[in-house]
Amino acid sequence: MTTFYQLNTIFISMVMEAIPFVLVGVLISGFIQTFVKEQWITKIMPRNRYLATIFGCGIGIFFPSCECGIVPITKRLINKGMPLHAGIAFMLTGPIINPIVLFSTYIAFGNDWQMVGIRAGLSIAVAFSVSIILSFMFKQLPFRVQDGQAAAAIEPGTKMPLAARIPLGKRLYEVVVHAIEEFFSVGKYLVLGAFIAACMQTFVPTSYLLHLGSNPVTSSLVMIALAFIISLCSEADAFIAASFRSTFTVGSLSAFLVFGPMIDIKNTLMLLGTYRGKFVVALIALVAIFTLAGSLIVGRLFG
Amino acid sequence: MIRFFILFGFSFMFFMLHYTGDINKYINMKYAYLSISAVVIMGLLSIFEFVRVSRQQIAEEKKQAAALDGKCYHDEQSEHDGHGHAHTHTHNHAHHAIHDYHDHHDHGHSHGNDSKLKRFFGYLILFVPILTGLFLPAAALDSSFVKAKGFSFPSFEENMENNPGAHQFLKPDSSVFYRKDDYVNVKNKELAQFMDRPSVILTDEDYLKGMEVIYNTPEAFMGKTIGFDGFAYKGQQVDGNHYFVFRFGFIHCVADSGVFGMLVEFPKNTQINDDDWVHVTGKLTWELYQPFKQTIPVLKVADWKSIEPPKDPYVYRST
Repeated sequence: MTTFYQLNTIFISMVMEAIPFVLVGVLISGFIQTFVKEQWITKIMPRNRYLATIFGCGIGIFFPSCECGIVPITKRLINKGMPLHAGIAFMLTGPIINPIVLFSTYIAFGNDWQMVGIRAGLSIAVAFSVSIILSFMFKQLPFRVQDGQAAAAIEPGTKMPLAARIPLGKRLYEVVVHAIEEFFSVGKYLVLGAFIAACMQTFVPTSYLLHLGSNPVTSSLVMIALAFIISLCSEADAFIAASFRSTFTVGSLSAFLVFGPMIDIKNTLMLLGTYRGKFVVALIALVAIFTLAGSLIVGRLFG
Repeated sequence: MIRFFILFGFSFMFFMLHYTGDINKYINMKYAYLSISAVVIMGLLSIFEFVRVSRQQIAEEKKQAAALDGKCYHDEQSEHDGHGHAHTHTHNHAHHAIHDYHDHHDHGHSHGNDSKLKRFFGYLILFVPILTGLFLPAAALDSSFVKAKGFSFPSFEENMENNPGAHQFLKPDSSVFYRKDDYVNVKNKELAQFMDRPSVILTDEDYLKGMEVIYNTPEAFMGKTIGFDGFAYKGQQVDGNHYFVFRFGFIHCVADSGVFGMLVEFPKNTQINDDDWVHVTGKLTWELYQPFKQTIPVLKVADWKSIEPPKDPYVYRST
């Protein structure tokens, strides 16, 4: 019974930790839905696939969000006509390439910019490769429910939507309606994911996992698995990674710092709620492969 | 209306945890502003939802009243159908078709293909944390969780490489939070704070700091009187009078906690159970600890007493 209470305690603590960020995420998503015009996105989005992906990697700076909050934002942006590759690039880098997370990484690693640089660089590299490959694999939008991507994306230059004439109060009202809608569509996956992650923490002895990391490949894999299982918010994970610094190499730590914010138990369930299963599997597999490869290279370069 | 209850429930639960002070069993209070802002946002959203739904209901009732008037019954009927539209595309599974007919002013009722049952489960899932958060006691992590976390008993520094599990065990190690040369400075500064005291009695505030200083330079504290609170954990000791006395320490929230403390030698035949809270004072000595195959600092108890579990069982890293 005590074990059950402890499980519940960890579960609630994860939910509490994530919900403020999800709220910010759904509100931003509501704002995008109401205020961002399709034309505006198509205008600033580079036509070129590669440029658009690089662009997607960069916008995280303007949307400070962690991995749970970003799922609804991305969905909204793609529905508004952002190309899939740019959207996925944004979704993967957003939780890392933002001022709060980078700063907390800087603090956690003893006011040292090196790890911040490695984390940002590797995450951009991974997100870029993954998004390009996915955009070739999936021609159709991989949403479970087709919201109907903005027509503007398909035939640019259609007439202006009426939105411009709606008064501000009415539009703010729309924002909140959308935010609540979104909260209920992602919230249940967050709760379920937090529950599974809490079970993992309670019943899977993580220290045994740590014993497996003997060579660069397995230690990177262990860190990836650990990042997935403990499902920490990207705002906090740098501190945990730093505590492993005495025992794990820079390479495997970078795997932890890059994979965790992109994929973990919580947001896998949220992804499954939004995208089709095949797409999520492909996404996770590609992220894992590129993170592993990248962390091995980092290990070579920085010891 | 069920949405109102869920939003309100979350807000209320977070608020209650703040109000009763139980919140510190879940997260480091340093991050409390996050959950307070969540309380406020959720509260506002729930009020919004409440107003919106009740307005809708009033409008609905009016409409029905009008319909009962019977005048333009036919018109109303067809309009009603139009209204139900958002909920009736139950077959949007066709991924290939791009639904450009989709009206963007419809309120994002894009979840039309959730069946009623699925919706119900969605709401049910969201209710679970509200209920368990409100009604189940916040379990303090105790010795049973030390086992559940699968703490092995690794040896100290030399064998760290082979035992990465050691990373946050017994000895709080903040060296990783500083650059090497900075850490030496910090270490010396902190050592100076504790060195001058004739006896080192650790409080909740300086527990982690003090433990770290003692483990860093045990020789400076040998023979000094040291005291602290914690819960007992038997571990793998063979004899009857050695126990670990631990505190769980947090960095951010329960999910990232670790145990910190010291091996304590009690007088012969002391009976203590796991999880009993004790206050111990005694002299620091070296002792060979068989499971670690190593000499570690051990507190030889001069005086100990059972204490009530403290209000806040955890200690926090405050820097």
